[in-house]
Amino acid sequence: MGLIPLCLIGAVVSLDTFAIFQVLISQPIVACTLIGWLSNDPMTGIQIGLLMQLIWISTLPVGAVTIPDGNLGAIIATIIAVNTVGIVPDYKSLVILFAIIFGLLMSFVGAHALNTVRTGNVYILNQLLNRVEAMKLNQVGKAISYSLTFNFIILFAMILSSTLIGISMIEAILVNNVESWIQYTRYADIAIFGSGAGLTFTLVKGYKPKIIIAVLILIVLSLMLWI
Amino acid sequence: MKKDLINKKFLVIFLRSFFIQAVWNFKSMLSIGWTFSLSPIAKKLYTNEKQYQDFLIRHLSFFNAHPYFASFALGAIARLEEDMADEEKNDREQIEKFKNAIIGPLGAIGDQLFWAIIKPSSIMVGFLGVLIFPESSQKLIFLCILLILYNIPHFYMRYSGIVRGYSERLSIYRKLCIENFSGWRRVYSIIGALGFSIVVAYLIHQSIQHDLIEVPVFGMSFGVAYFLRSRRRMTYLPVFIPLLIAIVIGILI
Repeated sequence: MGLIPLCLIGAVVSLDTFAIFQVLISQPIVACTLIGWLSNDPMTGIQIGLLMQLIWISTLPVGAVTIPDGNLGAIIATIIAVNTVGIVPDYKSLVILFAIIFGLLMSFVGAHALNTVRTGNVYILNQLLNRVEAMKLNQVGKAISYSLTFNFIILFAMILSSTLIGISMIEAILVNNVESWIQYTRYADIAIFGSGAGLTFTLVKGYKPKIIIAVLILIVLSLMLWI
Repeated sequence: MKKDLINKKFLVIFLRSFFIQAVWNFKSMLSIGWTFSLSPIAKKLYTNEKQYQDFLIRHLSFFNAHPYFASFALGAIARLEEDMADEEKNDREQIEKFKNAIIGPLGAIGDQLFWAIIKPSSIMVGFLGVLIFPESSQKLIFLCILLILYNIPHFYMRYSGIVRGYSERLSIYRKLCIENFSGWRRVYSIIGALGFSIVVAYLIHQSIQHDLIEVPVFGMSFGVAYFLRSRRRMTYLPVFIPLLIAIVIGILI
């Protein structure tokens, strides 16, 4: 599948994060696998989904707080990776790492894009209230479709532009000292998994000590069973 | 006014509730999605345009809640609107008070139950399957399990919330405490703890098999991320600092 259709699908899937349905299809492990599968490279999608999923599990959208859009970042990282891995198949691990770093940065931009959408929604609300005052009473559904269209356009534009920037950046980076970089970054995957696990463990911080001890015992028992 | 709120109306509210956050904004938060969910009922109840306009103004003002738990308030308000239309009395103030009072409990319970427990636990099960099993078909099955595990309580809460809110009316407020959802909480906490433990054990085991240096790198990253997040740092520092240290280790060793 080409870049534009992938970005369109990415934008539709991203709406699941905050706007509609919220059935978890936008979570990295699901969305990245889907994008990988649509690009005939499911393993790259799965790998990025796994690496980016743990990082965002503990980020909770509590109340009206704006949080980094990790799902969007993961989708961007996957589209970049599946479009770049084919060009430099020997450097797949490095491409995935750079795509993930870029995706993490884009999650920060994604939070601001969300704020833009929510600010735009205030305008839609004000317009709706004016129309209701003027006895135009069948406008609520239209307001929702306008907002979703606006949200979709912002997401699509962001995914497409950041993907193009990301691909060019990675291609530029992969010119020199690639072998050395592969050597230097060989522990990066396990560091990302470790950070993700550490972040996830903060979720049990508020639990009773016996539950935390039970988790630690379970880790040791599982490890002993494997070894 | 006709009392025409039957079960198929619950289904309409349920389906429309999936759009409750669609026009989330900094001024009235959920109000447009909320009004969108209730409007088919109001159209039945208020055939007079002025009354329907009053309904829209009443509900477009402000509302916020957890998107799934908003269903409890949707059901209760649907019933209150119906009563108000049926008895031709003005309970506008009561509706406003109820909406304002229920915002806190709906947000608190929903955030605690879904964002902090059910969501991470369901993801952890899917993650575990995708991580451990080698075949694509097996990974796909676990992704389906993830979606099913999460969406059973999600859909249940959305639909049953409407039905319970409708039948309990104002007294639903008293039922909204986290203890009344302790069954879900307990089951998913156990699932999450088990999933997380096996994931961590598997990652350590893989590190031991692959390269022993990976074990301390994993431990360092885990510790640094946990420490920084516990001190309320955002996600970026807890990820980038261990990543930088891992690259330095890669350069040095």
